[in-house]
Amino acid sequence: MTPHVGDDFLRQTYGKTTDPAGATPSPHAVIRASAGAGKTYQLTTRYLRLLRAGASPPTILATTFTRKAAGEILQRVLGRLAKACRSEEERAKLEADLGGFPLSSAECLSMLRRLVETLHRLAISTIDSFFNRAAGALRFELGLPADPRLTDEGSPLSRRLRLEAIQAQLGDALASDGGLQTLIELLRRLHHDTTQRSVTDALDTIAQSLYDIYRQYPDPELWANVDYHKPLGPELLAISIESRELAAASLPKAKRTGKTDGRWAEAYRQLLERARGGMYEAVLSNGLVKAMPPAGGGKYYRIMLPEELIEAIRPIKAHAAASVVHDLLGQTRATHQLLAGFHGHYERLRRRERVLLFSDLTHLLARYAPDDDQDAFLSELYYRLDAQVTHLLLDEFQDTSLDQWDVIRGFASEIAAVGDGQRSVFCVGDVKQAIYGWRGGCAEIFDEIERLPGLEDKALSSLTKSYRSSQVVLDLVNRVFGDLPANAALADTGAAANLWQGYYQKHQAAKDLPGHVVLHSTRSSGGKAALTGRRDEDAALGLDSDPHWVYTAGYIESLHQAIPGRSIGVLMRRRKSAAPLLHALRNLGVDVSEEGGNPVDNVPAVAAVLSAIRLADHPADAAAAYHVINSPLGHLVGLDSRNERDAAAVAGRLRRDLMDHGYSAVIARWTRALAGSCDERSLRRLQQLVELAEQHDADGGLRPGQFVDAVRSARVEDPSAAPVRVMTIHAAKGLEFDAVVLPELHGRLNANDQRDLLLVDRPSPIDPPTNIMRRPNKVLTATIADLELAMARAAAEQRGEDLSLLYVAMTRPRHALHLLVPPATYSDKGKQNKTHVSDLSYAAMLRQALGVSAEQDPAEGGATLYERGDAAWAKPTLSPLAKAPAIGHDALFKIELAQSHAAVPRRSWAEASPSKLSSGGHTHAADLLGLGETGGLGWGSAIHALYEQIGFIDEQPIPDDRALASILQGVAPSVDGAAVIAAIRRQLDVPAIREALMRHGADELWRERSFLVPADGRLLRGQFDRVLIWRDSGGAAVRARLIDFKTDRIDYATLADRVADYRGQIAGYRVALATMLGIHSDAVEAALVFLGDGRVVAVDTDR
Amino acid sequence: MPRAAAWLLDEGVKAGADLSGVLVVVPGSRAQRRLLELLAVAAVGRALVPPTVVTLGGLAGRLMPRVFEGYPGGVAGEAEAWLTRASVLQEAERSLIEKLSPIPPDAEDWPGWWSLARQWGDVADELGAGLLLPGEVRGRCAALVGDARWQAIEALDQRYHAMLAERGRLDTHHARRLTIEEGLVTCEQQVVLLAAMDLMPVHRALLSALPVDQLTPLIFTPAEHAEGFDRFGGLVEAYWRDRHPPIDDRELVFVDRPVDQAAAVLRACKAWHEDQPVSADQITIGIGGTLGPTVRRTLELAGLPARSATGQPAQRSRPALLLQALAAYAERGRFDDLANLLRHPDVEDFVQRAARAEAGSDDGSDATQAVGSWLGLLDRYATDHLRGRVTGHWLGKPEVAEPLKRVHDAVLSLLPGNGPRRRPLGEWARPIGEALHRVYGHRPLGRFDETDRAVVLALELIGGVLSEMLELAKDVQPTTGFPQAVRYVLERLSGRPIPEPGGEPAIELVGFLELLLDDAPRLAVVGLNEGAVPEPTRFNPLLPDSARRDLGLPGDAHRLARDKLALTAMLQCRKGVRLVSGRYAADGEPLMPSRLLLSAEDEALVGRVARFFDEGVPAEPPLLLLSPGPRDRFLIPYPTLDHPTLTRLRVTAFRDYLACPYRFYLRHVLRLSFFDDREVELNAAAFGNLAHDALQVLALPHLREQGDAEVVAEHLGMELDRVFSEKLGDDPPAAARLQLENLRYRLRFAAVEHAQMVAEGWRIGHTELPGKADILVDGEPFTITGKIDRIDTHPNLGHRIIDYKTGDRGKSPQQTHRAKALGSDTKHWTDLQLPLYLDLAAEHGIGRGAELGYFNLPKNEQDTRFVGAAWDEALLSEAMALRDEVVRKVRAGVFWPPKLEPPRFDDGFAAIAADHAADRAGIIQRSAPGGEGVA
Ligand code: SF4
Repeated sequence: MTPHVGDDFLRQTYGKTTDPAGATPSPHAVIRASAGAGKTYQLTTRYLRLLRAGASPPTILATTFTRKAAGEILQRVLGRLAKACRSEEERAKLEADLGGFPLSSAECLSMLRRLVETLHRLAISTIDSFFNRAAGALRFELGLPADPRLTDEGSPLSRRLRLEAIQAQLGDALASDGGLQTLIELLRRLHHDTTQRSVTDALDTIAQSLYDIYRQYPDPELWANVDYHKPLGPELLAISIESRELAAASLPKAKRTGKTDGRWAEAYRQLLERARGGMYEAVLSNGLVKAMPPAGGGKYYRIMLPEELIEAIRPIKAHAAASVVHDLLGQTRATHQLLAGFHGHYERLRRRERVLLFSDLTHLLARYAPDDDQDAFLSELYYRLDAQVTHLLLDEFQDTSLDQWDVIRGFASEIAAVGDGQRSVFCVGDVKQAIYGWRGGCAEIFDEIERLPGLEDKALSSLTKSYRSSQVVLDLVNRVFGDLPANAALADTGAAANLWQGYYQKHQAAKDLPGHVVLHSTRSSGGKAALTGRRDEDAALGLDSDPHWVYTAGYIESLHQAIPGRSIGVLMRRRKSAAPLLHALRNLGVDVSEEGGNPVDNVPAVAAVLSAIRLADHPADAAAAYHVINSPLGHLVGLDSRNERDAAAVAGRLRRDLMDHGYSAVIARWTRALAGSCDERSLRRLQQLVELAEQHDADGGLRPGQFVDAVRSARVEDPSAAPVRVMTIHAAKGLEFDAVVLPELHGRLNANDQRDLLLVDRPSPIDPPTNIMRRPNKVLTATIADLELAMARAAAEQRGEDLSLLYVAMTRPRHALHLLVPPATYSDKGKQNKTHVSDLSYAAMLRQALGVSAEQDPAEGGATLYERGDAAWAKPTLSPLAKAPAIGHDALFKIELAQSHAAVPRRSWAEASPSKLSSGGHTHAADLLGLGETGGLGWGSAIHALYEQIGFIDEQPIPDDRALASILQGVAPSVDGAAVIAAIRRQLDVPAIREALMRHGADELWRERSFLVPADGRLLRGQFDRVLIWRDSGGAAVRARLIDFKTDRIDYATLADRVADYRGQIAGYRVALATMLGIHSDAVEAALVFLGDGRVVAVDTDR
Repeated sequence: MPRAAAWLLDEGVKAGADLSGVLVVVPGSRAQRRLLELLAVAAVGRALVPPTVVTLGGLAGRLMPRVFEGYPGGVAGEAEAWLTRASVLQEAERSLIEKLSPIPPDAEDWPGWWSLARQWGDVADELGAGLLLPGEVRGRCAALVGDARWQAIEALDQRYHAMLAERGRLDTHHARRLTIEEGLVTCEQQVVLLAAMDLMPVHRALLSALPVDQLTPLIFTPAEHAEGFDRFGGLVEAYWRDRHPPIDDRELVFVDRPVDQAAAVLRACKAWHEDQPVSADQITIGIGGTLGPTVRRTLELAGLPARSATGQPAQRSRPALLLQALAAYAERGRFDDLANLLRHPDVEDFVQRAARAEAGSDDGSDATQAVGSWLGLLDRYATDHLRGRVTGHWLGKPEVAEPLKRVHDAVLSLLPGNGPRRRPLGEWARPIGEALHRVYGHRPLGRFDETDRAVVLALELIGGVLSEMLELAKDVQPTTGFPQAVRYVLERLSGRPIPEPGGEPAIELVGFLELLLDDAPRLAVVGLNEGAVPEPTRFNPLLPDSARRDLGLPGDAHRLARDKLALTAMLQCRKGVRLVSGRYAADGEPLMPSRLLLSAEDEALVGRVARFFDEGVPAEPPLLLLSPGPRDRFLIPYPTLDHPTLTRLRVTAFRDYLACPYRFYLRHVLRLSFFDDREVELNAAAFGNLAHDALQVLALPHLREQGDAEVVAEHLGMELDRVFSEKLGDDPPAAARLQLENLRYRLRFAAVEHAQMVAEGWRIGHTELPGKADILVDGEPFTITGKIDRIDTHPNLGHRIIDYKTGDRGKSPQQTHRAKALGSDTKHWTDLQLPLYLDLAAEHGIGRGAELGYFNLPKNEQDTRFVGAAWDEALLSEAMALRDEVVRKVRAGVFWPPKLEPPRFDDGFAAIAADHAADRAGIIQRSAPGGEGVA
């Protein structure tokens, strides 16, 4: 790339596609793209432009959030280039996309080549896997294990570790004095001042919901970091209460009687009583206190509070508030303490088991990248990654979490700072789709990157054309989000609606697609008869669940029938709301797939297999036993009685089997055997179970139960499931469907705000918190202005996210959008309950935006409240691509191979050495474990080494001790050489042994000679200690004698069986020797020499 | 390969069958094995003396002298080097260690130090291949970042060498350096380099010291590629960089998921066989990355025999797993660890034998029974008393406690007996060996026995490690506890596979690098993706590619060249090699094709990229490898009537029937028990029982009339503590302790309520009153049983029949007993417990006028109170009618169909009743007689 960067270059690389001749553009671009506006397309185009401008691929870091998206980017980058190389038309398209400058196919090819050459260093991936790479490169610095087990919070593994950590943590708490009390208080508080039975789950909830916050801000200083004025001292308090008695005088009199108004008197009495009783929360909820100005407006029962009274109450109120806050701060510290303790144990456990969560990587990197010394960090990282990032391409930027941003910011600001036009930041996203707030994802980062030095507000643009949705759908979206501030339902969302509105621009369809939108009310009760012909059956089967879901199920069923083969996305706000709907759908026989698929045990065959495995773990589980017995599996595993003893025997066999061959092998075997008893779907699911088993085999434990848990918690796409998919809106992000159904639009949006345990107070979502504390309740909030502000901020954040969630949901469909809300309710006087239009709920919001009148909104429901477009959109154009792959399309696959006719194995012979053949291949643990060794280790080998030196003893002299010693030094340095040599000398004096070492007219002598001989399908290999060979005149071998030295002592009693023991081995030797020499094994005689006992025994193996 | 064997025997370096003087160097262990096979077969009757065959890894050792001047101890073994490094680290000052790892292990945490030592060792090994010592990196490496770290390593390395030297020992890499620098290279044998083209600098240096005529490289590609190799047969990087493997695009397939890659293999096999018959032992499958298990399983599902050439990791062998579990128990002594251990099949056998020995009976009958109930008992024990630490003191009834104690003692006998808890590593060898011996020593093990085999090989490996431990010099041995010693043994086993049994013809699965010398006529290679092939060296962050270049270490370019060469060879020595590459990993991570596949002329390159990244190809469903049957035979077992008809029921059983007749059948007719040992705290039932037991004290004379809540609360508290420790012992799980306090808290409010009732004039009449009522239904007698928690009497208000409820929510009798059915606004009975109490009470002369109700102790103590059930006579007689209805149905054996709505809590019957089934309604229909599911 030329050092000087001219305008042409800039224009060609960064310019708008529309005006190649336009003004010099900034190399940076921040694009706010609406849903369906083709973010990926933008990003890949930018990538190709950079590539064309000469940027080397490893220096272009392109990240996104889902693996799917990452795959798409790769596909679009490489695929587009390849196509352009082959087809003139594609080339022309690409040329236009890249700014209209002439682009030859030769140039395409060279670009492609450059990509391919650095394929292994391409930096296009999910942000997680990039961080994974980065963290790996900094393994030592971050203190990561060399071979970590990566998993996520949801996995059974990490749950197990969490629970262990909690147990340990509880242990500590009990050990420490007062620890127990703190815990109890904390838990009571968690459950709104009740003592729930289960504590472990409660603590796990804390661990899951608060741990991230703790890890981000462990500094105790930040927690409970407020000082509202201190409570009064006891005596001061006494005064401030008692001395106020007289204030009672100032209470307003009732006009008629002239007596003090009873309601006032009572309220005041109660106030003082509660104050005395120290029931401060109660004090704050006292009517008079609530009425205090300014917040309370200063009126009680429409009468102004007298000044004296206000004066009287003020200190008590202040004290009450202070005390409650005090209480709250105490709990906050306790919470911090609890989390800190948990953290300690959790970390230890995870390090011990080498378990890493993706969030850990991000977190560690974020911590490691110091704000002060970014450069050092980057240069080290670049060095380790073998590439400097000079171009940054960020997709779905609004989902970037603070932790992630802490890392990314480094790259971004470094690049932005250098304005040489050879580096660039490109980010594309949509604040309106920022729905990961609860995970730390935060749209404000978007604003921050726009303010980055060097980037300031340059090259901002936005895309509002939708390449996904029909105009009909977009019109509805425009109508709902076009004027939020005017929507009465959003009245008390404060700034949120306006803020959000600021990001919104009218949406437009790029393609002309048919569409249909409906707002429809469900039934409140008894409503489902109309929809399903099955009512009586269901009643008989006693199906009882919420009519809203039952009605919805019916609605979806008929929709599915109306648009066969088209994908339908049923999007939920909360995952758990899906359960009743899924159930209702299945009762209607609608085959749905859940988020990311279903557990494989949604077919009974798999369930039975799991029961068998559960039985292996719990032999006394009669239920599992019964299930197995009464399924085709019972026969297979040989279980036919519920008797615990038999079950136990089978269980034992199963566990051994699973351990020896692995889960996948065993289940695969079963699957083959069971095929005939399964239908196709069960069979496919069983095959998938085998896949899951493979993952488990890698590092499964001893407990079969763990496998069952793992399987039950794993979601696997079921190829035979219908195109109706039920999932959370969060999971649907980045997906699109032909039709979308939104059945969970009711329920107040702020209903759960109180559920949050902590209030994280920060000026703006990207600033570090100024204070973290247990969330105060309404009464208290209303009392303390600062708290009110903080809470308002938190709430606003939440509302913004609520709007985004609805936006994401409504922008998923290509053609049809079905909004289902419960019917309006009416008072006896027939007046509509106004919550249906004023509530802070999606339902109300929609009723408002679409101007649904009470008349259109019958109490019995089942009415269409709003409708546009063509219900029959699906009929005319049925794109084949939208069809789900028909199952069985690749019918049964049968294969058979030829039998192997080779006389001897073609390969992979079973190996054996004669010494291992001794006693028919049987051996003893003691020998294997070296517990039997006599004379210590290496003794045997030392002896053999020395005998190797001895030729025909009657002809050659034996080497002297020095020579022998030096030999020993080499083979067995650890043994006592002198002792060995002494032993040898003694042995050589034994006549029998000398005799065995003589020539006896033999022609040839082998010593310690290794051999390798194929014999009856085995490969015999080993070493002859000593062999004498007699040859005929022609030099052909005629006879041989093999001698085998035994160094272990034996007493005479056992000599016979000892010899018998060795017979197998000697037989092996004889076969080997005979084969080698090409003589008959009868011509081979063998002798065992027991050196220790000086005995020589001829062995006849034919007996 | 066969040619190589023939060549060695006939032309060879020295013709004839005595190859003892020949050293053959091969790329990998499989080639090593294969060569010997071929030699043996080729040399039958020729008195073959096999050559020494080593892998490249083993070459250096062969060319070095045994002893070195000034280092009498010779070269330090792997274990010694490793342990030495560990102790250097452990003794080093923290500041130094922190340069290596921000969170150093604790002083005593040897496993921690070992793994750190291993990482350091790896760096040393990689450098060693390039003839470098860690100390020399800083000098050699331009623009080295992280200098401080290397300084630290340098310092540690010096200490390491010094520590070895004290023992007269020498580090391997150091030794190689000496050998080369001082020209000590020795080798009596003729060296034949057989396709050993992946030569490292150290190899070249050593080899070049040998006289030329002592060296014979054998190359494996056609002569045309002669310049592709140097004089040692090592590959020439530059040459291969711009060579393209001769890939035939028709044999190159791109598919999506791992299963699809496996399927592609099957398709290849099928095609080959149709082309000309081929048998399993003529097929090899090359495995890139981690696809081995998937491919193997798919082959097996399709009914084809498969064998992994690499074998199974020794760490997963039975003996290894046993040691692991044993160590875990020795270390933490938790109930879970014991439960794990006892589920190891060999431990189960062992315990069984122990029991038999104790019982002195040879036929294991009673013993087998025992084993069954041991695990059963263990589970029951866990459910009753929760899992805490195993103290050796077993709670509960003797018939449970005693057998468990026996089991536990048997297990304890596997642990090292008395003696110091921490000892020098070597001194643990014997205890470890003996533990294994106790379990496996009782009978001879068959080497050629299908199941024993793996155990034998594993024990052999472990035995090797143990004797190695005994051999270790005293001052290398860290002082550790038993668990850590076991961890050491297991560590030493890592990377040592247990080969699978040979003999039977099977399709073999082989790692990519081992394929080079494979001589099977048919070959398919899967997993040809970046990151898998070329195989990345175990990524070492301290030595990025740029550093490698500076240091003259082989880097990515080398690996690419090497694998191109390998692929070229594979393709050229047989026709039609099927190459498979996947688009996604198992976890959905997008993959890219291997650069090997993209090393091609322009057109081919473009074509392949276009094919790989082709958009909009619908994913095909995975192959269906087996033929399904006519119908699915996995059904909900239909109730059989071969059980004696019930003549008695507990009051609570009626609710079960009303909830679901089928589940009633499972629970009350078949009496299927279900429990599991996963409870970490008191479940609802246990929690309730504690409360009930404690509340009984209220009946004691001095409390019956006690009006002072404080006093009552105190007694309740004391009683609670008593029953609690009776149930959970003195060392209960922490969670339970917490629950105890919660319960105590609730009981305080119960005390207030009790005092209140006393004040109102109520007196306890009975508590825990066992009741039994014989009723007539259709003239037939039927018995209803139950236990009434408490009956109060009042001088003028009569009787109150009370049931204690500790449910969190504190529901009213109305809520629990009556509910609306969907679509109707009228309520109906869902539970009959309280009404039926009237039947029981009647036996004690308490009239139907008595008031029924719950004494609720909910989580919200404010709601602690007696909640009466105001049911009028009409409703009650409705209940009684329903009672009779249920009795009739039970008698008639009406237990079908199951309710469609499964219970919200896990009652253990979910699997039997197909709760999770996608098409449950359908299955229920098919399971009934006449349903097409029943043959
Ligand atoms: S302030 Fe209210 S909640 Fe807190 S302890 Fe007092 S009474 Fe209970």
